[in-house]
Formats: sequence, structure tokens, C-alpha cells
Amino acid sequence: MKGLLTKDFALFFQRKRTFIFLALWAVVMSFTVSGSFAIGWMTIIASFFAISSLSYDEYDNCYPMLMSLPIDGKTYAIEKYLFAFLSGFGAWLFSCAVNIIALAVKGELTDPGTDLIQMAIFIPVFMILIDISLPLNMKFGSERGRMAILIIWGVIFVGLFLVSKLPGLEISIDESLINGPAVIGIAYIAAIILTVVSMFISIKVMSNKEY
Amino acid sequence: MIKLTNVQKNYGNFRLNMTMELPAGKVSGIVGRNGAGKSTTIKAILGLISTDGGSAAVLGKNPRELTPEDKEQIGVAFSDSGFSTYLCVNDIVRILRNSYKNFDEEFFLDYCQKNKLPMSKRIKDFSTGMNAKLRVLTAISHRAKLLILDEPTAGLDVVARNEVLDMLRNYLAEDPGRALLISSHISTDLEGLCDDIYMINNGEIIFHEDTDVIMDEYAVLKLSADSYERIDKQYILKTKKESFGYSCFTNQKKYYTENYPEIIVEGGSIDELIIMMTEGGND
Repeated sequence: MKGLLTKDFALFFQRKRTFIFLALWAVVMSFTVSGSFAIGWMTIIASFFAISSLSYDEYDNCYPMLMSLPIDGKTYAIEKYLFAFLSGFGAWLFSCAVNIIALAVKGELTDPGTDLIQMAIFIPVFMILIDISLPLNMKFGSERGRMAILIIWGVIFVGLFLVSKLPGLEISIDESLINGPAVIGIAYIAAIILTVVSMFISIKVMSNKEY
Repeated sequence: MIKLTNVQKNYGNFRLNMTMELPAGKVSGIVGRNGAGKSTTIKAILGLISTDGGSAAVLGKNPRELTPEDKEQIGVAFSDSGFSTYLCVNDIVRILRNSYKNFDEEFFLDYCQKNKLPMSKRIKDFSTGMNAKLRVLTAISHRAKLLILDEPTAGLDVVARNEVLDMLRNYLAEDPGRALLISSHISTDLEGLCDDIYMINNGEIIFHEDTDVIMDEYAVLKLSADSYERIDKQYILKTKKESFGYSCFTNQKKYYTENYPEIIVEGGSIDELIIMMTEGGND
């Protein structure tokens, strides 16, 4: 596990220039775009970066070698979640700090409680993104996995859009997500449940996979 | 260390059916043409693929059930798989340090220095020889009891091949209990290293013999059509039609040299073995 994390972080830092550029962009956005857009943007980009570590393993046909290390499919799968969550959470922390500084500089830091709630919604968002993407990438490989992810996200958004248009259910999803601590709580619970289910599927996929 | 009994694996029209054994302290080679089943056998041994029949045991366990602790005892090098080529040797040192309890960092770094392996250069910029050395070094740097190397010298020039083979010889000499399974299609690599040779063709073992016996008792007889007609053929294993007459593969070199001093007898080599066993007929 530790060895795999070392590998993934080493690969992650191979792209440090890109990441520094993205971080600077997030800083600029925090000062110019109102709201917490930069947090969502940065966190989701970092999560995608972390998920793409699977592509590195696939690209150079690393799997036979990696699976000959003292690990098993279960360890590999769990490490990918850990790495993706650490990356996403790190990016979230960084962008939150930048966002708070930007709000303070602009004199818009009003109610810390509300600001924190607005920022906190991005944690279950990136968790769900990772939970859906990782098992699909592990099962189908990076190329086909990307198609599967696009299809699933498309289905989710179309589903949500249709549900929001049902008579009597015409709610503003954005408003309720951002302003409702209860909804955020539900999002956290859903993300945790989805993580457990997703991890279980990924472990199964990696344990039965042939290299 | 390794015991395969009729291990089967089917891929479309290809069918592997493998029986072999590698005890502690022994070096076995697997030879065969490309696509014969060498890499599939190695993957089955390492539990990287499931099998469709037979039984396999590595360190006394089903390969698919090897634990991380078991894998600490195994060193592996593939010809077509390694760490991401975006990494450098410094990264690999950190990965191995965090992966293996017995990683010998001093040995690893010392070898890198002696062989001028650049520590900060990406692997994708390495030469084929440097890459091969790094893979073998990775396999032996945690003091594994069992080494499994798939074509470790593929694509190397003579000097680089000798360096890799010397590294393996030194490693084996350090502990007589260490075992090595090596696949290669470069016969001279195996002749100087292996105790016995398994020859695989179309997924089946078609020949298994001690290397010394191959070198001492096997031979190819080069015969004109007339000579071929009159010699005793009871010890001829395979025959191949040639422009000059026939090449005949035998495991009774002495018999033919003593009884037919006029015929050309070429000493057994693994190259000849591969050619005769795969291309030769039984007449």
C-alpha cells in the first residue's frame, strides 16, 4: 500500500507544473469569480488527476509488474481510493484556504458558518465522482471506462433534470444544495455509502482481473 | 518452489497444458518460439491469470492465493512490464523501500552506481540495456528465494546480456537455496545458467532434459541421402530434410560417433534443439 502510494504521488508530482498552473488559476478565480466556484473546480480537477493514475498503470503495461509486488487486488483497489481522496481533499483544503483569504481581502467574509457549509458540499461531490469513476476505470480500462463514466454522468444529470421538472417537485437543486445543511448531511451519508459500495465493487474487479 | 501439474489455460485457439517442477536451489529454463506459451506459463505461476484446469503450487500455495508475505519471497522481471516509464530510479528506490521489508537499498544503489544507471533520468529515456538491468535489479534487490524472469535479456547486445547473466549468477551463488525460473529464446543464456531446460511448443512441454545431458548426449547428424538410408535410426528423435540431405536429432551422440565415424556430428545446443524439435519430423 505504502509503495503504491509512493508510486502514485511520484507520478502525480511529475505533472507539478500543470498543477501549479491550475492552482494559480484557482487563486485568480477566487479573487475574480464570486461564490465557491474555484473550490469545486480545483477539487474536481485534482480528483480527475488522481483517477488518471490508473491510466499510467495501464499505459506502460505496468499491471503484471505491480501485481507481482507484495500486494493483492484488494490493496491495489483500496490504495486508489485513498490516493484519490487524499488528492481531492488536499486540493479542497488548498482552494478553501485561498477562497477564505480572497473573501477576507474582498471584505465579503460574512458568516463563517455559511461559508463553511458552502465549501463542505464539494467533499461529497468529489467523493461521488471518484466512487463512480474508479470501478468503471478498473473494470473497463481507461479508454472504455471514460466512455462509461460519461454515459453514467449523462444519465444522472438527465435524471436529475427530469425529476426537478416533475409537477410539484420544481425545486432549485443548486439553492437547496448550497443552502441546506440537511441536504449536505444527506450528501455526506450518500457519499460514504457509495464509497463503501464502490470500494467493494473495485476490490472484486481487481481480485478477479487477469493481467 | 513451483509445481505445475497439467495446468491449463485456453485463449481462443491457444491451449496451454503445462507440467513442470522447480525445487529449491535449482535453475530451470523455459525455451520456445514466440507465442509458444512461455509468458502465459509465468503469468499462471504468479497468479496473474486464472487457470482452466490442473493444479499449480508456488511456495506450496495456489498462485491466486499468494499473500503479500509470500510475494516478498518472489522476485519477478518481465520483458514487457515494469514500473511506469515516467518514473526515475530515485522514485523506484522509494517505491521498493516502501514495498519490501527486505529491500537491500545499499546493494541497489551500489549496483546503480557501478553500472552507471542514472538516478534522476526518466526510465523512458533509458537504453534497452539499462532498462533490462534495472528490471533484473528490481527483482533481486529484496533477497527473494524464488526468481521468475521472463525474457530478461531480450533485445540486449552480447555485453549487456553477459552483465545481466553475471548479476544472476552472483545472486544465485550467494545462497544455494535460491531458485530461478527463466524464459528465453536466446539459447546461450540458458546453456550457461540452467540446470535443466523445458521446451514448450504450442502450449505443451515437448521436451525436458538436464542441460548437461543436452550438451553431452544430444547431437545433430548431418547426413547425405545415402548416409541417411544406411544408418541405424533407432536413436533418431527428429529428422529434417535439408538441401544437402538430412539433419537428424539424436540423444545418443556417442553411439553415432563411434559407429559412423564418417558422418558429421554436431554437438547438441539449445538452438538446434528448438529447431529440430519444432520443425523436425519423425521419419
